[in-house]
Amino acid sequence: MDTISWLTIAIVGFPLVAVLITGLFGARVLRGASHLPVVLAIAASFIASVGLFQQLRLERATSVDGGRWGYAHVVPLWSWVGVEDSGRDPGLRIDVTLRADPLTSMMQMMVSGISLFVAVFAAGYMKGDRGYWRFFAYIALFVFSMLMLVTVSSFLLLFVFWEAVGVCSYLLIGFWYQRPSAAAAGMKAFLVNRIGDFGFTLAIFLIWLHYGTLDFHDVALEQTAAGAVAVTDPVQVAQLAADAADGSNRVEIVDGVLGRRRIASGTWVGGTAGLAICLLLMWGACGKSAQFPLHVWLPDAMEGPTPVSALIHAATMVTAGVYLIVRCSPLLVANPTAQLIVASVGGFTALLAALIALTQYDLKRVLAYSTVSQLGYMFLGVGAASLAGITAGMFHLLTHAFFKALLFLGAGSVMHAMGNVIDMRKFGGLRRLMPYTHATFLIGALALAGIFPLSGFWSKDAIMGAVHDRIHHLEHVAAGEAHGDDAPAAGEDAGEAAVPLWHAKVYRLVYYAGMITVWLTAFYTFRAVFMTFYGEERVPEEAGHHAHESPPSMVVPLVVLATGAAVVGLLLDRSMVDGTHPFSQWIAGTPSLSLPALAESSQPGQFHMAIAAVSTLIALIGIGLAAHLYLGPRDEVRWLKSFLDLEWFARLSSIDWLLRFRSQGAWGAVERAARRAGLGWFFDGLWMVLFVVLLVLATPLLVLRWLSPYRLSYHKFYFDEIYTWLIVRPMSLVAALSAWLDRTVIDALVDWVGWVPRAIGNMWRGVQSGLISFYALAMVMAVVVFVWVRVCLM
Amino acid sequence: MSEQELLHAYLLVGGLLVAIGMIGFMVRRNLLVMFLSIEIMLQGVSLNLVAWSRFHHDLGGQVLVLMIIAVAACEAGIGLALVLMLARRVRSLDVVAWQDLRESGVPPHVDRQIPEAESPVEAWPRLPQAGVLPEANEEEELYRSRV
Amino acid sequence: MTECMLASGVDWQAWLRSPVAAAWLLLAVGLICSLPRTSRFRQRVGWLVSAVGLGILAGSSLRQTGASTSAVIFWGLAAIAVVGAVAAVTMTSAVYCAIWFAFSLLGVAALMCFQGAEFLGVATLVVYAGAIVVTLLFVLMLAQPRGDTVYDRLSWGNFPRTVSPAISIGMVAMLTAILPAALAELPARGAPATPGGDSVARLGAFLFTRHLIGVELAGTLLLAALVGAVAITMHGRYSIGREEAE
Repeated sequence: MDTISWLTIAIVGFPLVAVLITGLFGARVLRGASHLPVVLAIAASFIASVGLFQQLRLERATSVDGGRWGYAHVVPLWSWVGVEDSGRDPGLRIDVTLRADPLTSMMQMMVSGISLFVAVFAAGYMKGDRGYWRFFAYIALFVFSMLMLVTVSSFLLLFVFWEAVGVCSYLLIGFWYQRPSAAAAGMKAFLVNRIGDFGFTLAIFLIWLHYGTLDFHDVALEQTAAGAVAVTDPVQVAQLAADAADGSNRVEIVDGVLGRRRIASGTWVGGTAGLAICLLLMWGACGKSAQFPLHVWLPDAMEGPTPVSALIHAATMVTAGVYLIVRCSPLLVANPTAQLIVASVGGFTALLAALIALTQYDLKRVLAYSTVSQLGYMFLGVGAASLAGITAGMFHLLTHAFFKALLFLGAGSVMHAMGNVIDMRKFGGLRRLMPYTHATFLIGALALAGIFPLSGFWSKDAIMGAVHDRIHHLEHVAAGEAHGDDAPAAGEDAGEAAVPLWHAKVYRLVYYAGMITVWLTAFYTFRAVFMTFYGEERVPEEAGHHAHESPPSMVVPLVVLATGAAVVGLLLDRSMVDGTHPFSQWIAGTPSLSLPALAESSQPGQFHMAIAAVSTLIALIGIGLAAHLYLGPRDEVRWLKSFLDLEWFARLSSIDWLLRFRSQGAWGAVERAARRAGLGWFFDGLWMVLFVVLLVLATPLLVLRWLSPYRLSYHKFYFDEIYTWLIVRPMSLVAALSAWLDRTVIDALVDWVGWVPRAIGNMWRGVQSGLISFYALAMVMAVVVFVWVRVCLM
Repeated sequence: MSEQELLHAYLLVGGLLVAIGMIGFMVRRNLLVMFLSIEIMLQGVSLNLVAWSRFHHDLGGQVLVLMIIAVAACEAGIGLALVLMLARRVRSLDVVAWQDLRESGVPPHVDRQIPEAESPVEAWPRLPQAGVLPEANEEEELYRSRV
Repeated sequence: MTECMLASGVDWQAWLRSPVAAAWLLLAVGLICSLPRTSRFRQRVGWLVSAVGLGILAGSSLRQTGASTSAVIFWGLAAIAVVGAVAAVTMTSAVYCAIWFAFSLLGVAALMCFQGAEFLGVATLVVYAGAIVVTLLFVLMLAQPRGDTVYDRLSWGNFPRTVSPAISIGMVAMLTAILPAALAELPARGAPATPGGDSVARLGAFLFTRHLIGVELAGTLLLAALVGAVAITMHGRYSIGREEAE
């Protein structure tokens, strides 16, 4: 297996070398050419990952067990921590091992491919920036960390690189650190990520507690003369396991958490502990992938340069959470409740983010919320508890990487041309000015909206189809039980009989949320497209002479990504053609996904024509509505905004029209007549009562106007304000209190300790009185003491 | 008196002189009296040395006393010159006048009770001139004949 | 504590009860009172008390050794020396101090002659009383022409006036208390081999053979001191002259 090992090491090694070169030599030596080592290294990584893919395909066919339990090749590098088992306390063994399996190779190809194009784009975008070399050093570091994250074969090491990508995200978001908003956004991203990491840490502790190891793979510890030797090759492990069964006890087999032996035997931790592990892992994934309630950092992360947003916050870092959940699918499959929670969090976030994206004016913010929403889709797919769902989620991850990176890079191109202005209200009608950007952005938008035959269509429908299947499966199981069927229905496991019916109701809710989100997605995406590229041509003054199409270094990646966004779906999802799904078939070869339970759930490759038709129709309605509102004069948009902002209600609840009504017309005449007749008091009383009633009724509703649909959407549902008042302010108070305590009490103690020598000095200072007679007296006294001691005591 | 008793007595007297000299140096304020006290101490030491020299039948002690005398003479010469210079600076022989090298923050020594003078300035009687005054020689006064 | 104090071979408890200790105490108290102070009466009382103490010291020593002629002469001369020293230290006029110092020198010189060191006795008188005291009086005349100053009539504080005699006399008392025990360890010798008038010649021979270099060095030192004294005063005169010129 040498080729695979070398390729794996090469894939992660090239970016590491690039980091070192750019970090050490970028400032003085490379300067404007700092992108070269990085781009070359990522390209080499990409080529190596394609090579690894080919090699894995060949090897998989000839693997042990015929690939029944999936195929994975483990590359051990070195042993990091080796604490011996002391009899009373269990030992701890952490080895640095890399892993080559289908899921990993797919992630590697995606990461290195997208990073390559983004790096090329960034070479043009960041040209002339003072921190050019620093940027590329960070990019290389990020690519290295992300590649290691998907390649390592241990929870602890995954966590290490999980944190590393978080750090790189912080460094890159706050790249222009002299801007206070950028620095604050970097801090926010890192801190919210950290909250998620806390959950992940607890999950690691629980995994260690219940499974006894943190490795994914099985390890056989052979007691040789030179100490314990770890064997990780599955063939050899199987051999040693057979030998150990014969009675030789030199060998100790440690089943990995997601290893082949455990998948074959199916010993997963269930009950509360298992649920806790899954939920904590989900908590960690929420932090990294910006799901509710830890989604607040992603929109602020747009303060960083646009290539950073494209790479990290669209294609790679935020997908680490999805990768984690997919990797830990065996743990989740044992807990249907956990899967439900994953799906509902995903679905809810998708809807929430889409609602917020409707009213944003900053193009990058629209795309950021769109990312959050699409990540919700991925979690929805992964939570659908079937092989079809999980692979659909990963497929959506791949296609989303393409078209979201494309959209972000397009936005970067627009920003570059408009002189760093990205407020859509300030420019318009750019399609003639920037034809390539317009064309590629349009393709990306169509893919995002899920229009046939672009890639987004295939992946989104796979997800919705998987959820739909799950709902039906659960309802059939319940119906089967209600009819008293003894024979279990197809795809049922002993554990699945325990899934209650209300799960199906929740899945249905989430399904409808997903469908609504399809409509919203199409609407806000094309709102952005029409506002930016259509309408009358307007260029802000900051553009100056920049207002032209971007240079080829920026346009070529756009074109390549657009091609990918267009054809990836067609190539990898042949469910409409012949019912096969090459992507999912490849992914399903991963050990984590070759569970028996998953093999009996709904399989990928089914094309749900009804769902596809419905979602395409919904998307077209959304696009049509956006076209109607945003092409041409936008009077209706203004009317819609005022309607949703409850302005009509504010006007209604003001008393002007009431007073006008009172003084004019028939009522006015009647009232004047009555007043002349002396019955004015009646009308005054009437109107007073009416005003009081109106006041009582209108006040809470006027207050509620602050929560008008428009305002809720525009102010991001006030999440930031809620977090500030509930969490940030109390913590600041605690911090201020601690600071006061530290200054006044602890520092005072230290100062007091410093005061003592000074006080002693002050006491003795008087000895130096300046009178030499006193000095003589002091000397004589000392001599007398000596004499006394010598004479009398010794 | 036996030799031992003589030695004992001499050491006693010598020690007494040293002690008295030490007291004088530490208590008196007049620079010259302080110098005098040092000389008293030197006398005490000389007595001790002579006694030990006699006891041990070694003339080395006497030689050392001779050196003491020589050194005391040098010391007197230079010391008194210095005292004179100091006294010219502050116009007094008070050692308390020289306390500027005290630590900052330490108050200076000032006299509280000043005793009155032992004897008031005597007013000596002046005698009137008696007898016949010699005749004044105007030439002599104008042109001095004697140098 | 008591064991430690006995380690030096002296029975301190017995010593403290002897009249010698009382004598030392009286001497200390007397000196405290006789140092320059505001009350002249107390100064005179102090002199009296010190005299009593000294008398007891001399008396107890005479009693121990027997009142032979030499002992009486010795103690008489010693009295001159010590009384003169006490007076030199406690007088309120600097000139009186100088005169009493000369008186004390007489006693010291006589004591030296009593020991057989005639040359030293005469040298003491000549150098000290003849040169040093005279120079001192000259300087006094130049620097303090008034002759009667505040600082002569005062000590510079109660603390030193009390503590100095206490510790000085205490130290001497302690040292002399252990003398008998210490001296007992020394080998007893008789009187010197050749007493009498040859002592000057012997001293001279000893000096100019064994300590020739010392003599020369002493002479050089005297020369250096002479030049130094002149240099100091000349320098001072120049600076003062410069001040006056400005």
